[in-house]
Amino acid sequence: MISIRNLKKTFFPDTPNEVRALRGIDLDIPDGCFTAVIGSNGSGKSTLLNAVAGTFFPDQGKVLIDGQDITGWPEHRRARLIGRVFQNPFAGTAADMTIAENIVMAMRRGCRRGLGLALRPSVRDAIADRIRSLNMGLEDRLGNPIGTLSGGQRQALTLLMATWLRPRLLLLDEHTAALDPKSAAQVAELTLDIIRREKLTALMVTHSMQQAVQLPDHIIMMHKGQIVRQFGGQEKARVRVPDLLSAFDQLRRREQLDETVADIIRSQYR
Amino acid sequence: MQIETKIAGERAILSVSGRLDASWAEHFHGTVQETIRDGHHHVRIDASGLDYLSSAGIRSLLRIQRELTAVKGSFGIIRAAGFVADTLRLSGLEQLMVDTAELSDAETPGHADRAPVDAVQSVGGIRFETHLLAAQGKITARSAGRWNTWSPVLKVDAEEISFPKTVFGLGIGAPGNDADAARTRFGEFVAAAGHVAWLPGDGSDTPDYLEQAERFVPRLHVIQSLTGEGDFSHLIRFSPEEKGACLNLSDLFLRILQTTRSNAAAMVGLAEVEGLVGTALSRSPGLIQPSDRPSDFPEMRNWLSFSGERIHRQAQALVVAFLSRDPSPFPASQLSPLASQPELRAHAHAVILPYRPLQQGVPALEPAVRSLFEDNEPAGLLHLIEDGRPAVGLGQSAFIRGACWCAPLHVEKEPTV
Repeated sequence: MISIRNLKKTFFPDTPNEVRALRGIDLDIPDGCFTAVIGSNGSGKSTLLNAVAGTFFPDQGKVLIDGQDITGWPEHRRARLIGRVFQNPFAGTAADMTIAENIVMAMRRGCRRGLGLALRPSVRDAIADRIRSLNMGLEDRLGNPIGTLSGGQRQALTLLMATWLRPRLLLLDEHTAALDPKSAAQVAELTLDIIRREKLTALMVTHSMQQAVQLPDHIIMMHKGQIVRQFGGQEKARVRVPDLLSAFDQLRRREQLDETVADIIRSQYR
Repeated sequence: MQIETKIAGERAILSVSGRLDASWAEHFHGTVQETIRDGHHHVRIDASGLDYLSSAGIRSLLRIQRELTAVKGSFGIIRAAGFVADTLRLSGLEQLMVDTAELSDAETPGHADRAPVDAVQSVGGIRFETHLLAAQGKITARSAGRWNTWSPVLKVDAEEISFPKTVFGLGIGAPGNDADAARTRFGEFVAAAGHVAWLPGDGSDTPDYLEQAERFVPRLHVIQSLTGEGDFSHLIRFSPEEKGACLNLSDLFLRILQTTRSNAAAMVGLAEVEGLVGTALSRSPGLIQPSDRPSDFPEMRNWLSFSGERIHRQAQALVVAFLSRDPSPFPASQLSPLASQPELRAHAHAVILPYRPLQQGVPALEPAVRSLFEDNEPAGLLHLIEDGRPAVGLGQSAFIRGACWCAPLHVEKEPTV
């Protein structure tokens, strides 16, 4: 279980550029639950993911994984528990290293590293087997530098690397947004396959309403640093893209109901 | 695809060239519908330039035929040849193909259906036709439900009422086995001609609806309502004479009072929307706790939504309204003064559905409402308000064309709220 309690973060406090990015987030993600975070630009989606990943420390609140408080842990320490895929397909891999070398790095994430041979033949075979499941023909190119692959192939490998050690939490930060539509669909499908097969707990930020409807078990909608709506259980089962767009429209209209409109409503609403 | 429209009397002849297939069917239907909206209910498609017709195209043709038949219009395809004629014939749709000889008929179709107009007037680019329906027509109004707006709902506030075809109304309510079951879903409703649409107060944006069928009569538990029953005295039809002209709600209200020669009136209208401005409950008032202050800002945002802009353009609205001049027979709690016409008080709700043409002349209300709900889902429901804020105000709701059944009002009992 991932628990987030009253998480708050303000950037540039007490300056004209002050941004209250997280305004008291409370969220529980049960084991094996795939949750999507949607929201307009600046709603705090990526900030929430960064706070959980440990990119910065929150001003207030807690992040707990299986009851263990990791709020004060630095990012590298959290890497043992958290796998992450970024929007940029080039961000999660080392371009000059081969596919196999990148995978070995991922296999040893969070472990002590000695001076032994990392890429033994048996390990190489295991890597090839696992990569074969991507159906991209990459198992025959383990010695190629990862920088020679397309964005979609690279993101698929990043996903595989992030989940190789079955993390307690997988963070996906708009991980298909920079891909062409066909690759995005492939990576989205692969994401769901891996999460279901490995029974992973995952938190995915997405701008794609179609993905939000199709992939996860649960949707949270953020606005101005707060969770304003959740779609789970039966409601998630029936939700469609127009429902999410309508929910965004409701948020927009909510903002338009200002004090002057409130005066009008008070005088005319009987 | 190219479409050219020629008007010949009451008939509109649309010459279509190219392919009528899945990729053009929606565009074709939209173009024909524009012609129908302009009041041309006798439509002919000149298919001499059409070289392909798919099943999607046929569906579009049948949809138009159905819409026009429902309003006593007519539809036909002329000069179909080759593949198009063969497709229609083999699909058993020969009856859609009509002879061009009918185009030279001296008689213009449709005039026989038209009821005599009692008065015609043009004001501000709008043509008004007034039809007298019943010289002694009168509506008796009744209020039900005792909810005091903004306060917690008490058990005694709710009352169950039924809406047979003879009753129209508006207010706040919800269906349910009992008032307690309805408590979490109270929201605005509109009722007319055996149809009741309401917006469940559970945050939903989609109205639900009930319609009378066989022995089933819609019933609601209402916490506030105004209902009317009786004979409408007049039908007012309006349409634009100038491009862009539209009728504001307050101008429609003034015309109703003028036509019915009364100080209080009720109306049921079907109209094509230019823009609606309104508000609706987003949370059931049945959930208000004594500590809540739903009329305070910003707490109001948790209870009500505001249209935020002029919405639902070109959709069809079913509007129910009660209106009066001062001194009003209604208590102040039921009708609000209009910002644009302070001597007028009104309460109006509208349910919004996809556009359907309305029969010309003097259509009956019940089949017109039934046709509107047929195969259509309501897209929204609003308590109409006027936004008279200087510079940023959205103004008031307005309509492009429509029909309004109205009558003077007799208020049956003094409401107790």
